[in-house]
Amino acid sequence: MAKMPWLDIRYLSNLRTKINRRGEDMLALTRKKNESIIIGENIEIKILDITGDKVRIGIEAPMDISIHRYEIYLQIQEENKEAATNTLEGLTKLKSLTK
Amino acid sequence: MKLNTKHFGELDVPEENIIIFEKGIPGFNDLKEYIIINDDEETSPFCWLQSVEESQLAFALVNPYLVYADYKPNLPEAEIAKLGEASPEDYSLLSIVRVPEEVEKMTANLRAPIVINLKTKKAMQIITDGEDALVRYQIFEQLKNKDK
Repeated sequence: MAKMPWLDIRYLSNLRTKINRRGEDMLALTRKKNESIIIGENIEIKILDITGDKVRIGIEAPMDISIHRYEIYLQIQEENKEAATNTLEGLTKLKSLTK
Repeated sequence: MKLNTKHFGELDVPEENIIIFEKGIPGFNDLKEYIIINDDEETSPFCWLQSVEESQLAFALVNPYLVYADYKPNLPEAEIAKLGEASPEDYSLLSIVRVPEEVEKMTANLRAPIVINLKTKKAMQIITDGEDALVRYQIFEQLKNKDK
């Protein structure tokens, strides 16, 4: 990994405990186009393009790390919670359908 | 092993049938152990994913190919590899079904199928790349027509 003078790794690890996925007390770094950050030793996140309020992000990470837009993860989570509350009425109808 | 289930009362299930979701299921990340229960009707297209740890939690599941013959989920190999080594026939693919009160509007989540490695008994819900609409894929008509 190339040495990055703009980011002191020790400082970053001190801050790590403050990172909160919900957005409070989140570690905030300012980056310009084509600059990147590294997470751990092998996840690189690069700002590819900035147009208006849209930011295009490039991610390089090991194959076993799954990466999704956060909204889709939340959507799947909500969908599961809803599926877990299947009503008894619906289930009875569902059964009569399958007879 | 005696197991209290949401829809079928107390069942006696062999412990070796327990399926482990090491990361849980999104929304239920702390619950790792599940049992697949087949519906009492032999012809039913559904089966159930019953939590071992939480008796009141059970998901209805459907074979996605029954409701969408051309289903081609984009399953990342690296994710599948986390379930341990197995041959293709050792995997089972199932979709969680959402049954609203208006049963005609029931949907299956084809965007994030449940993949089970039957050999290692490890499973996970994998979020695939694909259209957002596949999260709520309408299945009522397909199931009804299958009966005819």
